[in-house]
Amino acid sequence: MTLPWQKTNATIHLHSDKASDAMNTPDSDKLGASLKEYYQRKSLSADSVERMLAQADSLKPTASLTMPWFRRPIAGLAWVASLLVVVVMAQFFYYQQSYQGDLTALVLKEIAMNHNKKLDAEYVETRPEILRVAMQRLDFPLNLPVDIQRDFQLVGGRYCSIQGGLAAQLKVRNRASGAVSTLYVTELTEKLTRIKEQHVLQGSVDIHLWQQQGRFFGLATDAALVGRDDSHSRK
Amino acid sequence: MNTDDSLEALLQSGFRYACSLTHQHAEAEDLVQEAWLKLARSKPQERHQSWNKSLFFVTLRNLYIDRYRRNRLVVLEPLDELSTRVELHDGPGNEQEIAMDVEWLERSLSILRVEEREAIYLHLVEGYTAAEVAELTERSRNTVLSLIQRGRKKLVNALSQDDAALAENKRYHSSTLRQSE
Repeated sequence: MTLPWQKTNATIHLHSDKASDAMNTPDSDKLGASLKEYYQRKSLSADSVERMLAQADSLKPTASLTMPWFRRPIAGLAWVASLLVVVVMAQFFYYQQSYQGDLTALVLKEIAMNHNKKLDAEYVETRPEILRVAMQRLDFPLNLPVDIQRDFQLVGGRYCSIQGGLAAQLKVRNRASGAVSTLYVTELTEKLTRIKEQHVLQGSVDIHLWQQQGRFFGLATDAALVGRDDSHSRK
Repeated sequence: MNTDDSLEALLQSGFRYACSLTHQHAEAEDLVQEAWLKLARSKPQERHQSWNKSLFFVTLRNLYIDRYRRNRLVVLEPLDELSTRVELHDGPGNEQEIAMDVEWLERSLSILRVEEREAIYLHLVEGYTAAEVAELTERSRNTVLSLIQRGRKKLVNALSQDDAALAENKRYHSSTLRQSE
């Protein structure tokens, strides 16, 4: 609705409501003319006008009301916060990955080193259940996976450690080739669960790592002997 | 008239209205600046409406009231409540005889109350009717008419006092001249 006084300059006429005002005498016309002349003399300086016009041009509408939501200051903070979260998560996963890589490398190195020592078995026993009784410090069973039992003959065992955890270092002989391999068995700790099944050549040692029945296994064989149809190490 | 010209005309018009409120050049300029910025920051969809005279005047007036209410310098009250307080002399002022020069108006307008000066400005200078002034200033039409009437009488009284002083001065100079002759 347009208010009565909302009219343009063009429609404004002095004393336009003469009938109703009843005070528009020639005297008041003269007073009005004088006042008009007085106020017409009052004006903003050219500099002030220029400055204000420039401000009107340069001033953008209030940010919070006109900017798209994703460009408002609070949204900007949210963007920064989200970015930080992403960066932190990326760093975390990168660290996890590299830690996992480091852990696998450490385990492989440990297994290869123990295998290369070619230490004799402290407990000579071909039956896993009997060996388990002999190695009473172990807190996990020594029953071997079916495919290992099928392909290898247990020779004996001794204590060792993998990443600080007590492990059994079993000497096994390949039933087909007669090559002696070292089978490492330890309890599957949370740390070791991060190591995925893999087949790696660590120096001159062929190593197969896997998890089975709540235990962690590592089978190390001299790489030179693997070529002789060692089916298990080529899984 | 291009946009800049019309905006400049609007600014000057707003400034004159601000002068009627503040009766001080610097203060009026401050007020215009503040109102101008306020309109410049309005929403884009309302921006095209921002540069019209009526909205500019209302913005100026509201800012003036806010500013002076905050500073407790001026309390705007309806004239009706004050009518008994104002002593007006219905002197023999003849407006046709008024020698209105700028200095006289400057001095005379300063004795008016803000409401009277504002009403006189809007009515006699801007040409708004009493009803329109009433709507703009949120007063009753009768109050506006009273404000205009009283303001005008004050101006006339100020003139009559000035005239009396001028006549006295002339008499003094005449007698001095006669004595010297």
